[in-house]
Amino acid sequence: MSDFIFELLSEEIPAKMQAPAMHQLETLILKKVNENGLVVENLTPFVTPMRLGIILQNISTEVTESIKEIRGPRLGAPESAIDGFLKKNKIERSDLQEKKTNKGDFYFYTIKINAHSLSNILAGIFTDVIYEFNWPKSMFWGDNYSLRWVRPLRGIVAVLFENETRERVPLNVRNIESGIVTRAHQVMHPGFFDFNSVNDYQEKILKGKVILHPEDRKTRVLQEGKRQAEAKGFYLVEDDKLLEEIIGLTEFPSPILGKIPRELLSLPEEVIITSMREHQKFISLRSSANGRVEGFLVIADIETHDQQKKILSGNMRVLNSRLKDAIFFYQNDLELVKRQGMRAWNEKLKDVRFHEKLGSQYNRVERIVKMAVVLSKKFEIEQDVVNEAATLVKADLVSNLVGEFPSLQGVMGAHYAKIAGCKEMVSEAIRDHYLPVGSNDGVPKYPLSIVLALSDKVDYLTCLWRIGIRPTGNKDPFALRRTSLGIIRIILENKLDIDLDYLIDLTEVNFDKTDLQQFLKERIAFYLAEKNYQKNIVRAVVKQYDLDHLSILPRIIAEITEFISSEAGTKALAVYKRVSNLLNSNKEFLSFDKKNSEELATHEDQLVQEQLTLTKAQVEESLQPKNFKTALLVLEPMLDTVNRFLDNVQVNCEDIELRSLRYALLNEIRQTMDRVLVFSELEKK
Amino acid sequence: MQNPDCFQQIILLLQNFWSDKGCIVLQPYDLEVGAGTFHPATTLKSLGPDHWSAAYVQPCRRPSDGRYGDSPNRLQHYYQFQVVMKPSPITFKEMYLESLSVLGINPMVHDIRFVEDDWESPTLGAWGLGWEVWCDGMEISQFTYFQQVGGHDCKPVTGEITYGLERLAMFILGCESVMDLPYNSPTSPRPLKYSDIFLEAEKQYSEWNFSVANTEVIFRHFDDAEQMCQEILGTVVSENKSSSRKNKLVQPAYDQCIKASHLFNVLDARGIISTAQRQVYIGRVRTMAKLCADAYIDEVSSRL
Repeated sequence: MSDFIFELLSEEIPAKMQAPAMHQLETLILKKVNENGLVVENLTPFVTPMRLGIILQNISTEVTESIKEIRGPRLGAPESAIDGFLKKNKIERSDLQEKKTNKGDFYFYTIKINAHSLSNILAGIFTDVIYEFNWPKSMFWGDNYSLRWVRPLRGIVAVLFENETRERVPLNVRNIESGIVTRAHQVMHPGFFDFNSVNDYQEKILKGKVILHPEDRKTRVLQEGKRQAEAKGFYLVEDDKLLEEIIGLTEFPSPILGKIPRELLSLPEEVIITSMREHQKFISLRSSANGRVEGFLVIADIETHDQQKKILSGNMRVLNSRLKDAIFFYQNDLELVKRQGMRAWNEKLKDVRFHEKLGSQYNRVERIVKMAVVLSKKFEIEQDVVNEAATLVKADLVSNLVGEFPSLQGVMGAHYAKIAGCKEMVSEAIRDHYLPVGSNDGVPKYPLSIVLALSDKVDYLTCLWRIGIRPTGNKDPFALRRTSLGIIRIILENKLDIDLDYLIDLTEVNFDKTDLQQFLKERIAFYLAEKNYQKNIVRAVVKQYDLDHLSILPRIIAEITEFISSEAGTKALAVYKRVSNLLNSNKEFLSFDKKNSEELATHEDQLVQEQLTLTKAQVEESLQPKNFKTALLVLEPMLDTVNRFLDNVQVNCEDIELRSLRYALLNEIRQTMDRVLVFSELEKK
Repeated sequence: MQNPDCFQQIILLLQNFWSDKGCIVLQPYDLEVGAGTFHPATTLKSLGPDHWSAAYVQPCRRPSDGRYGDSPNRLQHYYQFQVVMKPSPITFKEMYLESLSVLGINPMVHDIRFVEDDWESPTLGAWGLGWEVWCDGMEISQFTYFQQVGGHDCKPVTGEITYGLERLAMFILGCESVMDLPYNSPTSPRPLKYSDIFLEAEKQYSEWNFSVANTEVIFRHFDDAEQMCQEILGTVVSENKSSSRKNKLVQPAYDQCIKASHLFNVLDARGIISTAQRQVYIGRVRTMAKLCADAYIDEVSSRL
């Protein structure tokens, strides 16, 4: 059994690319390991800002040797030909074997080729992996253009431990020769070192102040951070995204606790948190006594001899100047809001372009107001309130503070609205109308927030759609997919009885919305499939039911899923398939009018016809009040009848007229089933 | 070695350091630029196959950052220290860290971090990958591997380091406000602060940029610069009979591009260019930069 350690040492890998790179490395290697007949018991990938690597443990090779046969002259060929063959291969006459082939009898020489050594196989695999690796953004450096990498690649570590021996696995990429030494933390543990086993490597690298695995760095930040916070009467503000970034910026994350100077605490909390997070990657700390954000953790990548005092004071100075700037902006905003109200900002929105073909943000607000007023009638909200909230919805975009911190849009609007004396629900609606942004965000819950959120998103989507903007492939620069998903989620998660068709018709401009409807259907299917509903059922249902049934789709899908897995469902699928197979193989009969030959019908045909007529009526009756479950259940008696019919009669009978009649019957049966559910979609994978 | 005690000593230390690393020490370019990158020693020299290493101080103008000298860290006129090495040396990053030690920033007690920051200059049609360098949470430098300039691939790749001199000095000398920076040594016979030299200028230029400059004239100057740039590049110099080469006057043309870029910045600071127009102006400067880059490449390849 052998172990292998592989590291790519580079200059700092961008934080957000690290985790995906680690997974890509693992996937690529798993694939290549299999392709090359290796068995690896344990595969441990890791990544830090300075290195990307993997440890393979207990490697064994399946293939030890291979055999190659070389064909020589025909049996009975002249001696000179045979001698020539012997000479060429440097072999004796006794090495030859006789063998029959379909081209005749030949002399053969069989050579055994030793399989490549494990070291060679690994060298091949990992060289390929480096060249096949795909970074989202990569570059050249220096004057060698044989490899693009995320940042300059500085070293390759490739060490194989096999039967107590240590071996360098030879790789050479872009003139970088692989080696058996690595390095740990750049500052705290400079210099290169070697190691004698996987354990030795792991111990030395940790002693050298590098925590290889991102999850372990996360644990350290949280544990060490909590310990310090609790000792000083604080607790951590959770922020997974920030934490992900922090562990992508450090090999040995070392939290340092600091307190925010009192005079800076006059700022709204969101501003403090945002400034600390975006500019300095601080984790915010709340006081256990009053719940307010009054402290922070700097996560340094070093432990120093001065207990990190210099690092903390440097960071404090930056924080001070940032927050003082923010206070200056905040006070400017407050002054304006108190003096003139938020509407003063709306005038300024006239100068802010939304899109060159779609006018200013001011124009957009006007459209949102109109739409919100109409939409609000479904929610019994006072006109004045809707009007006020919708008018102020984008005002904060031109405030000083949002100019400085764009991510605070909405949040500052809500804050200023409260100061301007607006009702609580208006303030909340201004804050929440951007929701949901990410897939983990909740959707707005209160009627006014819902109205604003839907109006904003529908206006955004329809306007951009109208001027021809579409998402293509993985490019969606205007986030139309996210916007549509937002609309769908708001309706579904609030169980609103609102038709999507109605919503997109609220926009004042007229244009052909067919492809927009299609796009929305795809988004619905995407959303529901994400929710772990079966993809084929989602597709079948979305195909069948128009955009006006959005709010009951999850229920329908759940019912159908249940039905499909029941005995009746299995039967329905089988019958549908049986009928479809017949119909598909004889399409010429489909246009036949069965009235012409009804007198030919046998007893069996009549039985089916009767059952069909009955089932059809029952299906329509159940579908009227959207009772899909019943519609599915009433199919059952027909299924048995159809099965019996197909068992007992010959559909492809001699009499053409009768045959046509039977096909017409089958076609009607399929149509009846399709009324409830497009069964054919269920068969697609 | 003693730590620097003033702004000018930081510059001297950097010049000596990079001179020892093989850079020629150039002087600032004599036009108003928004960043040290505009110096022909960076933009033009990063094109073509020739090796090149240079370091220089470049005064930069960013009219919209003017605060009448009131802000502790924003100025409309400030200094960058620029280093370019082509091809980028393998140990470029280590050299940079060494330069910080020379300035008295001991990596054992400070937290130095390279945070992803890909550089893109829409006006120069240029981009590169690299980082901003943080020291205890303060951004003190930009570090970039050039990939394209003027739409041309950079081969070899130029490595560029830009030190923000005032920020760096504030950090090293422990000043809360840029105006408090000692410009020369506090122990010299006549110690001067940054404010003694630049405060009045900041006030005057802020006033000029934000309220006084005649924008009609500036708009016209922009058009003139663009016209001249195109005219220069449209003309082939072939008068000199002793020369068999027919080259365009790239450098004079590029001067016009730099001028146009600065004039645009003044107009932008004034807030009289709408968002829609803004893209158009940036596009016009980019076109000029691209034409200059094309002509430069032609010139370089004709020499080969």
